[in-house]
Amino acid sequence: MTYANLSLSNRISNHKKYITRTLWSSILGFLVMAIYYILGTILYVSRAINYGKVNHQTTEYMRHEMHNAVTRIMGLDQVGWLIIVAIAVAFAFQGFAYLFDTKKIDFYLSQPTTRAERIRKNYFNAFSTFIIMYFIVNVIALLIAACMGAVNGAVLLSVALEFVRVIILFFTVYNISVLAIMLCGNMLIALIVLSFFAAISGIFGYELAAYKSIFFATFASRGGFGIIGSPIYDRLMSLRILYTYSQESIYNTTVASVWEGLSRVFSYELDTLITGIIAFVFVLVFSRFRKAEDNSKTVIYRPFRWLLKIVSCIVIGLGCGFIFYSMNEYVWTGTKFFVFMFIIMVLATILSGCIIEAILDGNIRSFINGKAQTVMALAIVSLIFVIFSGDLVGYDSYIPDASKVESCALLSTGYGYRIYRENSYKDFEDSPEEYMYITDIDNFNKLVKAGMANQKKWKKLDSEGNYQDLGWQDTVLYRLKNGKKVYRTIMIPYDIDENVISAIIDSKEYREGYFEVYHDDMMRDYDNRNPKTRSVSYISAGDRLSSSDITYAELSDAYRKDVEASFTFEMASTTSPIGQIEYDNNTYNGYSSCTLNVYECYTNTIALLKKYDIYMDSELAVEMIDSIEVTNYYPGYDVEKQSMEEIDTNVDSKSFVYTDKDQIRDIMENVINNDYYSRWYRSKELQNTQFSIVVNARSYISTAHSITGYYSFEMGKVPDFVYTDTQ
Amino acid sequence: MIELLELYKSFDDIKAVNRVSLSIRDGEVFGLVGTNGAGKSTILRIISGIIKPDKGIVCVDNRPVYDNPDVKKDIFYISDDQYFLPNSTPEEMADYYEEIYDKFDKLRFFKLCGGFGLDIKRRISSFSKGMKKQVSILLGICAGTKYLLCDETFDGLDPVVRQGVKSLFAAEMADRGLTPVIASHNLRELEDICDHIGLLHQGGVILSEDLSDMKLRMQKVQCVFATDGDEERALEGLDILLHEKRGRLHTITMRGEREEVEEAFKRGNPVFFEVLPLSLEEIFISETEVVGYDIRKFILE
Repeated sequence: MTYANLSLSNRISNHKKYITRTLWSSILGFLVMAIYYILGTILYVSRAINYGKVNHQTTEYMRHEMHNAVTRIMGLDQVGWLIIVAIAVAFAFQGFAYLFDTKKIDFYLSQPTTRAERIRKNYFNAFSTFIIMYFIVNVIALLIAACMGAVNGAVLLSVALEFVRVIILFFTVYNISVLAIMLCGNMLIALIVLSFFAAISGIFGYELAAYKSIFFATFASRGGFGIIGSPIYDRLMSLRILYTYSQESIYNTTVASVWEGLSRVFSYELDTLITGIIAFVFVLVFSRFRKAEDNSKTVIYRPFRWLLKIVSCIVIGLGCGFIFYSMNEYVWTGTKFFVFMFIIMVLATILSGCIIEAILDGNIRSFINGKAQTVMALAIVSLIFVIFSGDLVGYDSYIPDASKVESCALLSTGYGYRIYRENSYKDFEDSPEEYMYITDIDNFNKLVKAGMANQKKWKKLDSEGNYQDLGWQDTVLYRLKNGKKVYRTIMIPYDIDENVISAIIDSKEYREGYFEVYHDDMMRDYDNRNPKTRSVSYISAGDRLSSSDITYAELSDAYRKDVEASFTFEMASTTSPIGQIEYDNNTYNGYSSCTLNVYECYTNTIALLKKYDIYMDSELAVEMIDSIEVTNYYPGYDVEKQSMEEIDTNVDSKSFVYTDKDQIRDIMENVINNDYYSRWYRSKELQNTQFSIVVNARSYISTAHSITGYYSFEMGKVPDFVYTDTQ
Repeated sequence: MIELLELYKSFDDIKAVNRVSLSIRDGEVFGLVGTNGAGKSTILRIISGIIKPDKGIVCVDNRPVYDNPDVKKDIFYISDDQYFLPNSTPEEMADYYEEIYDKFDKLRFFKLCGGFGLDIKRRISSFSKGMKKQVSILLGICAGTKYLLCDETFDGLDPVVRQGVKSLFAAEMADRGLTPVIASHNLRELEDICDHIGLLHQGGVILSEDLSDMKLRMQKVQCVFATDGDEERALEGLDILLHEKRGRLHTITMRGEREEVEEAFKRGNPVFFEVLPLSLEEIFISETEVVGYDIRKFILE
């Protein structure tokens, strides 16, 4: 564009007037940003100060909360990015809306400029205006926060990094919006196309994950949806990750912690940036081909129109199929169900094709046009259905080649570790993923191969309404050398080669990933800080003894020694725990808790319990037992000799109460306590599930109150009189 | 000089401009006449570099215009519905154009606005249609460009303002060699301002000629003959285009130079003889009929 020989002040003044006339949304955006960033900072920091005073927080902790307040408004974990998205869309539409209006096109394009320069000027205006606005409000907000004592190096770095992230977000959303405008001839269709761009990868990712969960027996809902090219999804995921990270006490305390936060969301930032660059390249390409007269069309380029229609039809077709499945899966299964699901998908695809055609033409009579694209969408939808229903990609049998695997893990946990302190919560559910690095890939693959086959069998039976306990269900993780992660759900059969499973379970890597005692620094620290509120209870045979003298560290050390010395698959699969330790520490500002199974061979733990006088025998003395109630769920049958197919599962159960001491003794000699869940115990093979046994006894600790214990008969050891009495 | 050579432009299936060749000489007022949809606006938009022709060449002073800022700074295009920046005033539009056109004369613009009774600080959106037209014309004149392309510019202007604008055009042409190109569907509007007329119909040029040449080659005469023999002698050999007779008064339009016609009429010794001025409309009716068009059907209001 030509610039006359005006003074700088005249140019700036004219530019300001031009911006206020052509980008009036900047005024509104500035106002909203000022309210959010400046007022938000004042309110949020004030709230942190007041809350800290009311709750008698330490100065150090209160300051940390104030820092968090600032970064939640304008740091890495801010939610103000939604405003940025809205501003980017508004700027793009205001800057390029002239392309929809002949009058404006004539006005701008008749001026002595090139199309490229016109676009450059729009970009420059949008970016410079946005950056100036954002910078001003952030500087003011930071100054106010500094005056309130809520700024440190970490906060400054967080705000500075967020400034870069926000520019990337603005760049990407702006480019996507401009691309939508470049591809369309009117604003309504451009908005629809923008929504399409914003949502398509997310919706498609969720749909593919949903179809995997429907059709693939070994699908594990972990590891994200593999959605790329969606800045909104990227931001939401980043926010979730940073929110989780902010639950950890180290967050925002040091500059390093801020860099760590950024590193956790870096891949999403990269995706946003790449998406923005791709959109920008497309903008450059399509802007060269766009003609001034294209504003008379809805979608300018025919191939894009076809693509838009085909992809939309596919997404709608798959979505309707999934909705139909979700609505009916609990009441209807089998082949007919999936045939109906497919019919719904086909009808939805055809109908959506008609509706899209009518929308794109702005004419209801056009609904039968574009049959070729509808047929193509139909073919792709059908292909996807066939691929998923027939598992043509081998999803349920895919086991990575051992040479490509870095390490693997079994992801189940078992000891209910929880800690909440200083507004941060951790449940240790991801500990195996974080700490278990099994490298015996050959044995792991053997385990997974058997587990996958068994899982498919189980899923098939389950889908037919025939639930059966076929093994230990678990989620496995392969960390591949190329950085990818593969998750699968497997069901390890009970008859798995014991050498194979022992090689995994008995390994150091498994122990260190599975048992939280190997990485429980937070628990130890919390216990050290709050010694007066801790409580360690030992529960056995329905009774409980407690002590507040045992430190968590002592307990953890003893338990770790026992795990190292005695925990094997053979032990865990054949031995039932004799008791359970419950650790609790509830304070005004938080809590921590865990449960630890105690086996007879855990000598160090038992010695510790004895030392603090809270150990008790797991065997109930007959004289303490008042009565035993045995319930037979299948009177007239014997599950040890008959298969479940032969048994009428609808038969009424029958109970019998034993008070005779001899009979009680006979029963107690043949039972196993099943009060405690044990991950690898072979309950199906070692316990008789036909009977449940409830023991009512007097407490050792206080004979004034009674206790109740729950048991099962050992397999093959049900006394004859029990069969007789419960017939 | 603006030259269009074998220009084609179609919008989907509609041929808006079909093989148009025109030359617009510097310093003359060029009138583009045609019905709605004849292609006038499209040609102006092509000349101003807004749209690119599908085929053909557009040169302004021997330079291509499309995407060429150096050429476009010599052109100011006033569309039939001119756009102004949202909520802007004439003063702000002048500020805007001052940055775009090197020779934009803001002071003159303010003066002219005063002369036409336009408040430069009032929002243009509150102006009437005619006032908006005036603002756009004044902006165009003050831009200082060599070419001023006006699309249906005189529509909505009252006769006094129209006359004022015509005077301005004349002054600009005289002072700095402005070349206005005026598109209109109304022949009467262009009659007293254009030097050269291009007649468009269905995307093609039917006729493009200097008005003065046309007038020289065609005469309109009112006369009274004493006898029928005198009439026959007078009209013999003349290329008569129109002949109306009311009583004994004849009104005849014919081809030929004035001297040639006067000579012929002397043979018939008329009782009364007078050469009348020809209107553009009459010239066009006559000329287009020759090439097979009945212009009355599509050009006259």
